[in-house]
Formats: sequence, C-alpha cells, structure tokens
Amino acid sequence: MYLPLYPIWFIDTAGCIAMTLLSILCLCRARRLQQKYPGDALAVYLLWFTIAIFAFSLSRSLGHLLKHLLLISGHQDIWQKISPVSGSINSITFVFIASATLFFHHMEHIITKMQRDKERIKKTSKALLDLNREIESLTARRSHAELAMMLAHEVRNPIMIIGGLLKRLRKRLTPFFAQDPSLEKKYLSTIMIQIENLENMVQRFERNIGHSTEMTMPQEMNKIVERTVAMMNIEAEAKEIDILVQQDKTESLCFYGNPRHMEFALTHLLRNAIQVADRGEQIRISLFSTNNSLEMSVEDSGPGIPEEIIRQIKSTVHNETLPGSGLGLNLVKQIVTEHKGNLEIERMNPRGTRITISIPRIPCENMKV
Amino acid sequence: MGLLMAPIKKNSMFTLNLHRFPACFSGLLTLFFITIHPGPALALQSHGPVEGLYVHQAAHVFFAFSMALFAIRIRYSAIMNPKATKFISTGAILLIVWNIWAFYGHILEVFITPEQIVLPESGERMPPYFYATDWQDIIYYILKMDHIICVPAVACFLAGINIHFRHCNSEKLENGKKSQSSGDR
Repeated sequence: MYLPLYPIWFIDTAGCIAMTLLSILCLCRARRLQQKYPGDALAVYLLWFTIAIFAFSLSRSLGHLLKHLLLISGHQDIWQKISPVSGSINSITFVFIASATLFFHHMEHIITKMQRDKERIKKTSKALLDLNREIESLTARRSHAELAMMLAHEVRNPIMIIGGLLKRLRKRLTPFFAQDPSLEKKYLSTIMIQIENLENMVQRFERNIGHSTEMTMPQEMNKIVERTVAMMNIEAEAKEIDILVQQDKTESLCFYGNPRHMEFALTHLLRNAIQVADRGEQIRISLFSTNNSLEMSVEDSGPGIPEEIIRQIKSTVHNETLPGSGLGLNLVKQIVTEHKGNLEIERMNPRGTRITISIPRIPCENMKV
Repeated sequence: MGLLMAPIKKNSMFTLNLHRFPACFSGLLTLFFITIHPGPALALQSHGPVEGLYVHQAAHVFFAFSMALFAIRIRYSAIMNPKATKFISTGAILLIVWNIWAFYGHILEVFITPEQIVLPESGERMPPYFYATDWQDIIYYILKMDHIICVPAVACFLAGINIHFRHCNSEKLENGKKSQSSGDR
C-alpha cells in the first residue's frame, strides 16, 4: 500500500511551528508572572517548568524542520550525520523536563509550608499588634492614674492647710463676729463649705482611681499560656529554642483577672528568657496549683538577673517605678499585684533564672458563669 | 658528625614505618606481575549506534513516569487555582500519551527499511510516499503524526499558566481592596 508522505510532513511542520510558538508564549507568561511576583516560589517553579517545555519544544521542532528541509533538498547524507546529535539533544531535554517535574513534589512541600508560616506570622502579628495596643493603653492608664494620685495628693494638702488656718482664724475672730453674726455666715462659713466640697471631691477622686474597673472575669490560665507560647514560638524557633510547657491537667487552673494583661506579663517573661538563652537551649513553663493559688513559673538558662535588680523588684510597691530595671518587669509586677498575686525571682545554680507568678485561683465552674 | 647525630623527626620522609612494610611489599609485587604480563586495558567501553536508541527510549520512559507523578500531584494540589491545575494535569496526561506513542513509533521505526520511504529524485515530478507492507507499517504511518498529541499538551500548559496568572492578579487586586478598606476604617 502506497501512503503519501505529505500529510505527515504537513502535520509535522505545522505542529513544530505551533509547539514552538505555544512554548514561547508559556515562557513569556511565566516570566511575566515571576517578574510581577518575585518572591513567589510557585512563580519561580513555573518559570523553570516552562523553560524545560521550551527547550523540549525547540529541540524537537528544530530537529524535525531541519530533517524535512534536508530530505526535500536531497541532502539525506547530511541528515544521517546530524540525526544522532538531534536525537541526543532531544533525550537530554526529556531528562531536563522530567527532572523539573519531579521536583514539583518538593516544591509543593516548600510552598505549603511557606503558606502555613505566612498565615501563622499574619495571625501572630495581629496578636502582637493587639497586645501592643493593650500595653500602650495600660501604660497610659497607669500614667494617668499616677498623675491623678499625685494631683489629688498635691491638692489635698493645701486644702487641709487652708481649712485648718480658717478654723483658727474663726476662733480668733469670734469676738469680732459676735458683734455681727451675719458677717461670719457671709464670709467664713461660705469659704468653709467650699473647702469641704473640695475635700469631698478629692476623696471621691481617690476612691475612683483606687477602684478603676478594667476588663476582669474568670479566666483559664492554660489557654493564656497556650496562646502566648504559640505566639512566642516564632521568636524561639529563630534561635532554635524549645519552649516546654508542664502543666497539672487534673487541677483547675482558673483565676479571676484580665487575660490581656496576664498574656502581656507572660509574653514579657518569655521574651526576656529567649533573649538571654543560648541557641538550642530550653525554656520551661510550669503551671500548677497549690492550696488556694495558681502558680506559673518561667525558667531559663541565661546568666540570671543581677541581685541588685531582684532586691529592687522585691522592695518596690505598687505604682512605684523601678530605676534601671526596665519598664517591662515593673509592669509585670504591677499586673501580678493587681491580680492580688506575688512575683518571685530566683537565681538558679549555676545558671538561669526562675520567675514564679502566684495568683489566687478559683474553681473552673465559675467559667460557665 | 653533627649532621649524622641530628635527630630525625617522627613521621618525616626519612623514617621507615615498619608496620606499613607488608602493604608496600604486596603492592610492589602486584605491579611487577602486571608489567611482566601486559594485555589490553579495555579502559574505554565502545558504544554502538543501538545504544543511542536505548538511551532515547529510556528518556521517554523517564519522561512519562515523571509526567504521571506530576499529573497526580498537581491535580490534588491546593497551591494553585483548581481550574489551572486541571489544565496543567491534562497537559501532563497528554504528554504521557505522547511518550507511549513516540516509544512505539521508535520501536516500529527499527523494522522500516530505507526502501519503504520513496523520495523523488531531483527533477522527478512525483509525490513522496511510504510503502506499507503490513498493518505494523500502517500503525507506524499513523504514529508519525505525534504532533496531534503534543501540541494540545503545550496548549493546555499555556491555558493553565494563563489562568493562574489571572487568578494571581485578581487575588492581588482583592487583597489591595481589603487592605485599603481596613486602612480607611
């Protein structure tokens, strides 16, 4: 049976041209994608994939077109010489494209991990932003409270002095006012009433500052620890530090307080621990309950807090600033004090620090309320 | 005298390590026997023309295998738009078919004699033709038109990449709008 070669030649030639053009378009589109999204791993992979497709199409098409040209022009002998080279290049491009596609498996893993990490960073950034805002408002509230206390103190003293002096003046001027009692009522009594009003106002002011209501409600400490550890793990992983959490799961670990403030306190302790710990070390968080309290300790293996600062923290009372110890630890102590708790700092032997926060615990049934 | 009496450093080239002596001796003995009985070295293996075909066929198998894995992985992958992955996996499947197609084409090509392909001589006005003697030759004739498979494969890749590109652009636009609206708030 005689079969014409023209259909084969036509399909081959048209196919070669079409394939080359399509692969060029693929390459251009992938290049544009990579230029537009330079940090995108998938865009980089697609570029490599299209380069492989282009190499495959080009080597195949050039070989086929050259073959047809040489056969039509009667140069079969030249084609016989070129044919092995063309075949070898084709084989190489097959291996190239196969290697590029086999790499997709690893690429997919990398991209999935990157996407997961991106989501985690996004979530952590949001949590950090919220926490920062909370710290800012907390610091602002503290400053306002301190200013108000100072103002109240400064105003009360002159009022007391003025009041006392007026009383003495009233005594001295009793004979004078005996002549005209309406004068006493007109001047002195009015001044005294106004001073009493001022005194009452200052007292009310102090009372309100002392009982400033913040968002307090029953809280679960283990959830706060979980959230904070998840957030701080990124910083810890960067230094190859493990954060180990040991907790007593049989006991109730609930307390009454502000979750954001407690989260801030723990974040600060963990960040300090990460900063001082060496690469590859561990930070331990122990969470357990005693008779009436809930204890949480953060233990690191850093050089330890200097004795002088520990003494300063121990001797500091509420609202007093700590010179040289940093605002953070001072705020941690204030938060713990506000939760009617204690902050203990111990230097470990030979290295490390253990900071223990103990606050009153409540039965976890209260959580339902 | 002073030179003779100078101490020789340990491990220096002048020191004779007696524990290495048997190994050195056996090595020298082997070298001696090799040199007294010379023969062809056979250091380079010669490669016949058929090896080229084997390598090419092996490359086809490797290509098909990698495309099969790629088609499966990308089909169930969540890193790309589903429509784009559908096109790319279809392209990969078409290339698997093309590899099988080309593989059999190369096998059948071995049985084709040069006389079966008749090309016009210079000045001769006759169309070139292929002389098919049996059904295998007809299959070979059909298999020669392999562009029917591989051109749509590359077209599928192009469609997949285009869809992914558009999807990335629209996603970026959407994210931009979202961040703008959250910024306004």
